[in-house]
Amino acid sequence: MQIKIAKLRIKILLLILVRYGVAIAQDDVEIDKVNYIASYLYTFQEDSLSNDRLKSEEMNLYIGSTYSKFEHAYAYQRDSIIKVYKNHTNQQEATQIAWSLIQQLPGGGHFTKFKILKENNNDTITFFESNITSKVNLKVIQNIQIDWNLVESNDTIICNYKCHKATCNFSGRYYKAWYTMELPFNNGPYKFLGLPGLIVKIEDKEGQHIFELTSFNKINYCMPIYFNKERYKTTDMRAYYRAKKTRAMELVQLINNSQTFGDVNTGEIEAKIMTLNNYIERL
Amino acid sequence: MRKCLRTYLFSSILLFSLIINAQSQLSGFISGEDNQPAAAVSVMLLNPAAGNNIITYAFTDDKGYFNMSYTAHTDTVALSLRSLNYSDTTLLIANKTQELHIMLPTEVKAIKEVNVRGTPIVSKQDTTTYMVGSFEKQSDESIGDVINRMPGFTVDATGKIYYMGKPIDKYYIEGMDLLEGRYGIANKNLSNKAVGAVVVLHNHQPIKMLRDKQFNDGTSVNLKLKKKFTTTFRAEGAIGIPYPRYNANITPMLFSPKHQMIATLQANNIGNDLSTQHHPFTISYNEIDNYTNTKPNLLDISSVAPPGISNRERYLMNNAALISFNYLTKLSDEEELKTNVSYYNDRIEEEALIETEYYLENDTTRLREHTQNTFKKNSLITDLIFTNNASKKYINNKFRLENYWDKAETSINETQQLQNAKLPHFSAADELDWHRMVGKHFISFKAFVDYNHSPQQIQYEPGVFDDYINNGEAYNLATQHYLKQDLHTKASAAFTLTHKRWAFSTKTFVNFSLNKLNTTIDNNDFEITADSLRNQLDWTESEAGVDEKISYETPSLKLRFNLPLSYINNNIDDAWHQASQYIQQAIFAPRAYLNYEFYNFFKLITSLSFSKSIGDINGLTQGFIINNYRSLNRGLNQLPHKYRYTGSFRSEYKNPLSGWFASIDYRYSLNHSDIITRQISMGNGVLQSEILPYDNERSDHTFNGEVTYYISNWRSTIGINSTNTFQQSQYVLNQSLSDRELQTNIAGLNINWGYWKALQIKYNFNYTRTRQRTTQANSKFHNYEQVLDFFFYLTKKQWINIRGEYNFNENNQQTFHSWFGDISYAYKPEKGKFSYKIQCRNIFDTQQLISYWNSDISLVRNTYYLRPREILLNVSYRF
Repeated sequence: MQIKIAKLRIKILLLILVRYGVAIAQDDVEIDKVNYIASYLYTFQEDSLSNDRLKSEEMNLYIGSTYSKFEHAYAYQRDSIIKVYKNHTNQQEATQIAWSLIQQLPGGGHFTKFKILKENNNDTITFFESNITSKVNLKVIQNIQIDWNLVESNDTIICNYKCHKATCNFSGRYYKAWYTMELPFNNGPYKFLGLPGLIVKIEDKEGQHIFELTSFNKINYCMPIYFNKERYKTTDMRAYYRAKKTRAMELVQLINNSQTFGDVNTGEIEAKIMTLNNYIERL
Repeated sequence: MRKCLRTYLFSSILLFSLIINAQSQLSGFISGEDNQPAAAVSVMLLNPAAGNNIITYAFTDDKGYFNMSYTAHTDTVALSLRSLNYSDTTLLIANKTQELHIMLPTEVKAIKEVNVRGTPIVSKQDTTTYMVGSFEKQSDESIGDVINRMPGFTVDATGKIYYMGKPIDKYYIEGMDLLEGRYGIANKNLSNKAVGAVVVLHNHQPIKMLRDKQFNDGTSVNLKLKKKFTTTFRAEGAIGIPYPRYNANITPMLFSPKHQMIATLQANNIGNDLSTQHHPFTISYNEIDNYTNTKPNLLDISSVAPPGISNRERYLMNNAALISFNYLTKLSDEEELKTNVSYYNDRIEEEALIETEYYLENDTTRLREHTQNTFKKNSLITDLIFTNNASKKYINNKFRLENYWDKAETSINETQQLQNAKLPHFSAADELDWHRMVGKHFISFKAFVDYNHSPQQIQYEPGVFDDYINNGEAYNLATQHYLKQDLHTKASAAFTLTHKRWAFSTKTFVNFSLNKLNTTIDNNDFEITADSLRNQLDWTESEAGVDEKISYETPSLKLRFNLPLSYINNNIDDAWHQASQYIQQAIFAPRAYLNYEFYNFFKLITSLSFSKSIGDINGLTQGFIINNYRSLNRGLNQLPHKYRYTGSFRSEYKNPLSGWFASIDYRYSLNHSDIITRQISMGNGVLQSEILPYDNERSDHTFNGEVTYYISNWRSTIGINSTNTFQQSQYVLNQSLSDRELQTNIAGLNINWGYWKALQIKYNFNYTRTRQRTTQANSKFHNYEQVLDFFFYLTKKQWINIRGEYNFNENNQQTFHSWFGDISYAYKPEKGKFSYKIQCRNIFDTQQLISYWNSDISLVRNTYYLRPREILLNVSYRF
């Protein structure tokens, strides 16, 4: 069953690709260079009602001198591949090669396609995602003010860093976070910021969304941070989630109308897509 | 507290008399040495009077400015500045509204980098996770082989798992406790390929409802499987020479989120001890006042003390079969039902030359006995367990039936003395454990019923103790019958009140037991009716009491006091002797326990206890019992009064990041009793023992230490351990009272070297020294064992294992050595599920092993006969 679903997933992706072509997600304006990479393991529950489907994806926080960007660990490679093949003379061939390369990269599912750009030393962040549905690129500009409650507790060692605990309420969930002053960055995974050190671990009370630091490294090579704000239409989080839900419905429709799936029980896949409902923010 | 109060008063005065607003404003400009604004500096205001807690914090903006308002009740506050490009600076400033300009020296800092990914051991608050892939080797057959290699773990010869020197509580597979204490089955048969990680659960409270409410310092293990749905199958067959040596094993397993099943069918005569998969490693009734209902051995059947080598396969001459079926089903998220059925049959042959030297007052008697034993073991254990482990309530009912049909035969010096024993035992027990939350508090109820019946007997041929049994004339056959029958019921109800970090628990309990003890001796199948040779005791014991428990828990500190007070009432009816008694006694056994964790890696545990009790009623047997063909025992018409003080201290250090695991343990106990056993030598090693009223004490000191270092990059583990005991006691031989001192020192070194891919080396060194000092004699002996194991991984398909063992014994300038060698070659085709192994054990064909042990009045030298050279061809199939 598991294998069948995995195969179907590839089929769905291919189908979408054929329909719309590789909608090239390009953020081609270089805005900064990466100094540090913090990698987080993001463990989340896709279906709010059932906890037997916990998924883990690797997410990276790229920290530059002025900006930082948070995205799926393989998004950078994905974008790089597209960039390389963009100016190829034979577009069809290039698309094929690019796709075959992209396919080998893991992740980038429904819950981890977004990217977040934070401006250091500023509460304003830009949350964005391209190709939510065909050629729909959205961005949300937000002012993040988190009312952190610092908890007096013994030092907790996480990833060899001495950490302190803090709690907060954010978008309908109650979070426990651990931050370290050994990494003096006002930053963290997802939209989280505002603690006197980098957030090393953060989890919500129900244990449905957990970010844990797995590595922190200084980068000695040149790795630019790209962003092209012109590409994205400004909206708010509600509209973004609406678009995501529409996208899920679209996928269901696509499966129903397609002949590609043959005898496989599409109902199960439909049900799976429909239960992708446990978004990190409760609006 | 006083300080707080003072501050409070002081600030109150300030507030009311001076009308000062406690809120202060702090703003400032931070720059580098070049006067350029320093942006993104983290500015923290700390309270130096309260452990540098953060009062408030801010970051400087692009222009280097920050602004914060705060409230603090101290004269000074600490301002801590941290950033990437400037040195960390902390300043003490007055607690008032002010504006600061701070210049920071430039310093480009090296940020501490980490990579947790790929680290084989990950530690979080209460769990330590070991990645199986990082510890496994090609030659591993089961998860137990891998666990044995993980730092912090030790697995003893029987398969019992210890973590940092302490036996584990529970062995879960995917969070389910299918096997309870019988985890040897999974540990020895579950393929390591199916397991992703071994998670150690520290301070694990198995009852969900009590988590974070009632502290438990036990350690449990959870195996995380790679797949949610796992089915594994192991089938193994081996044949070998000499004789038809064989080994067979068929073990299917199934693990899914709703069901788990492990069945096994095993048989062998190659020395693989199957009883370790039949008998639980942990006794599960330990929640009820440390009560155990293991099978009693009422009569001594002259079994030989095992030789001091770790590898039991060298001397265990068995012919064993085991059938076990274990099934667990989840009725809902919280409810589970499981059944365990295990049948074990074994025939164990034992052969040794036992030379005993009795230290008597004037002379020493030497005895030389060539002992041949045959144990026929036959038993069935079944369990049916229902558990509801919800967040607000807990129900656990366990029903157990056990039946043993054990027999034993002994021959000493061919036909000089024959013994034939029947040692059956039947037990039926039911335990109900019920807990429920009532608001923040909880109530619990426990009930326990246990019925045991053991009609055991032993026959001596020719008859023994002629003077007592047959008027001094030799006779053919003596039979000692020993029947013990009892019914225990225990019930308790407890209510626990919680208030913040405190918990107050009051438990009332009632225990009641009915007991029967009958012993008779037959002379040539005729029962002897002399009262001096028989016992018939019936007694009822009732106990009622209150146990008051007070505990205080913070994340780092756990403190607990137990104050149980009970009243015991014994009503004894002795049919043949003047011992009918009505004994009453109040019992008070307070305990204190402290567990303190600090600096994340350190843990201190200390406990103190006192207990007062009355002795076992088995000591009231005033009629003689033939315990052993050389000893005749009788008891006293008085129950002993005992009390005991114990104190223990334990310290643990575990740092999975650096790979260090260490623990030290010290334990002291002082036992006081008002009776003592007197042994009377009747010549030629024959002893009569009886109990005398006499106040005496025994003290025990035990010191344990253990250090393990795991070198992650080299995949190697190095460990040292030491156990030292010192015991002082008194004993009576014939007419004289003497002191006895016994000292044992054990030291060990273990190295597991896995740096090279193609070669793995294991080295163990164990040294034991025993010294005994008594009035009659001083004895001293040493023993050490060295084991060197080489695994050559020739290719992906084949490996060779060469093992060498050296055993050394020394006693009074006499030394003995023995050498052992094993070699095996394994081949596993890359495709397919079969693998093949050829094994030659005991290459040098070493036949004997000598070991020593001491009792208070004797020194025993055992020459144990071992398994000869054996060659085995093994085929196994697994998926």
